[in-house]
Amino acid sequence: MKKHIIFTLSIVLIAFASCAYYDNNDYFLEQSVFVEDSENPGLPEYSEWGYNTFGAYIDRQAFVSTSHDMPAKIIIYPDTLNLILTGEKNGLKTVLKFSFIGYSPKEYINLVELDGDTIDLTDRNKCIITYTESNNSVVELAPFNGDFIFNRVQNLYVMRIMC
Amino acid sequence: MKEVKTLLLCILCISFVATKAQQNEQLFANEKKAVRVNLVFEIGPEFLSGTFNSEKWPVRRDIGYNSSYSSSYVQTEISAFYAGAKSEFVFWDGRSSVATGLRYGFTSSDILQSNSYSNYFYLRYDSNGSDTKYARVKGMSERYDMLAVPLEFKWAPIHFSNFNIYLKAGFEFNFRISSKVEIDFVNESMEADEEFIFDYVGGVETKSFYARPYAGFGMNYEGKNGHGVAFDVLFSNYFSDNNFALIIPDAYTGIQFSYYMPLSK
Repeated sequence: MKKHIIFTLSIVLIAFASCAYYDNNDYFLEQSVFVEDSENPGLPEYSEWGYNTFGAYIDRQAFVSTSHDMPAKIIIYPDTLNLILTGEKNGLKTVLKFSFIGYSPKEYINLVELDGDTIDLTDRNKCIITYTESNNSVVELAPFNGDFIFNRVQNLYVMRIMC
Repeated sequence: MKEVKTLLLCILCISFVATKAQQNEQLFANEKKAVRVNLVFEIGPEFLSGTFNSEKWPVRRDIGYNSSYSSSYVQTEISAFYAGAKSEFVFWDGRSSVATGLRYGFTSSDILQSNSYSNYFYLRYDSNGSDTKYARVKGMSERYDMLAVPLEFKWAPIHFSNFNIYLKAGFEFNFRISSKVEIDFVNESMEADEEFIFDYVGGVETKSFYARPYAGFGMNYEGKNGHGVAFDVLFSNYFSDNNFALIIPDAYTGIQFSYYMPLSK
């Protein structure tokens, strides 16, 4: 099944989502800040400020992060970085997973090396995309074009302490 | 005969001059009654409404996902007060006046967290290359002191007994004496970064001068000795840009209490 995806992602949430696992975690900073994009109704506006949100149109429906699910998780297998986005589409829990093959940062801090990187989504040797809907059916997506661009990956500091 | 004609001519001239002098004196006396000058002392609070300047200050905006989710956002509290003195030139049998003088006033703004679950919010103070930095802030405050020169016109269409009900319109020209912005950090060690934060947001300097028009109505009571008291309600909804660093004002309502005494009758 091919799905044409228009995807926007607040990349800084990659570094930010891990904030919960550090001593400087803060309940309110871990929460999501959803500011709707006026040009893309239903999606959050683009931000690089650690707002813990994501959004995409899948088949014209908005797939967005929620206030109760962890929006993004990073799980690293020996040689693969798995970016797991959990949200809702049409009121149903939906998961979109990007598996970036060949990316295996040793430390959390090494994620900033992804800053500015572009990954071709059509190359299965570099990226595998799986899509899970509420009925738990897992579908591997094979886009005919598209790139995953890490516009910005950065460290987040609160009171001079890195999250 | 020639001497008689000269004498008659002299008498005629003297009479003419004397009459003219008498007319001028009466005219001057009337003019003195047409215009009075009062010294007015005034005081009053202003109720300023405005919004937080979120375009300038990058506060991490916490807005709920849906309309039923209570929003936790910053709230603004603004207070203003002034006192002054002015000269009031009263004419048209006391029904109209023009006044100008000097006022001292201040405006105080506070930005606070509106969420009852937390007593701080996040203020982004740096974003460059590989780092974005936030500070936990309990609140921000701004104090703006000024000297103002008002120029007012007043017209009292309603008069009964010793009372006048009048309409007022004017301009106020405000000159900044001092202004100060302060950030109250959760961690006092962040105070060393306060100036850096001000630079990051483009500075906290505001206009040293601004003018605003206003209008209103009021009532005064005047005793037989010319002394009186007045109560005014004033409105304005025009402000020029960059008058304050923290807030964008949109309207103000003022209450004015004044006491006046005649300087001339």
